[in-house]
Amino acid sequence: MAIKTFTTGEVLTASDTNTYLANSGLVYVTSATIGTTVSSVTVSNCFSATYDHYRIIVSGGVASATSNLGLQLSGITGSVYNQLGYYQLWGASARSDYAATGTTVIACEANASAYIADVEIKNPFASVRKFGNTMSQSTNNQYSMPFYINSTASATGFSLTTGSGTLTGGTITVYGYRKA
Amino acid sequence: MTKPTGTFHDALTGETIERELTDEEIANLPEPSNLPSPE
Repeated sequence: MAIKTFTTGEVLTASDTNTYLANSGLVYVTSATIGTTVSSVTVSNCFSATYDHYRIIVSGGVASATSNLGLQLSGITGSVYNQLGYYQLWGASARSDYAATGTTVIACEANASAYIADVEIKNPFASVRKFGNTMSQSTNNQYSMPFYINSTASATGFSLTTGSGTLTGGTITVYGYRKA
Repeated sequence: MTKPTGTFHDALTGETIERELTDEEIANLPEPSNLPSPE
């Protein structure tokens, strides 16, 4: 929907409100607070036909141990998660390459200071292969890692699981990209 | 032995609960072995 510029004194109709204000580009879907000393977080029924593409933001908590959070879509459990990219220590000039195929993709590093994840995922609900990207920052390093999930199964949710230790606090928020 | 716990959120109902994982859920936890060790 095109952008409309309102003028002073113009009547703001219900139709205009629904069209130009409620129909924003990135639309809130759901949000959850992560519990205390949990090993995993599962968000169900957040993906649907309403949106094709989604953004998942995780922030605000702390972990009991340093590990990576693995993201897995609901119902897609095989070794079909392909990811590559790089990670780099703050202040370091050299980047470390990464490439792997497994049962999750790395969403972010979790440690005693924080866990921060920014995940873009295309078509998790549609019956097509899924592509996306994870970007994250920790007090140790930063990641930028595109991924490809070699499955056409439809997923309605996802889980995050620690490599070791537990998570406490923070929020997960899911947004959908409005189609039109 | 204490079972691990998880946070479960349903976007349809808005409900969030924290509970122990079931034996099936524990068995189906993703293997983290493909993840590189953080620096």
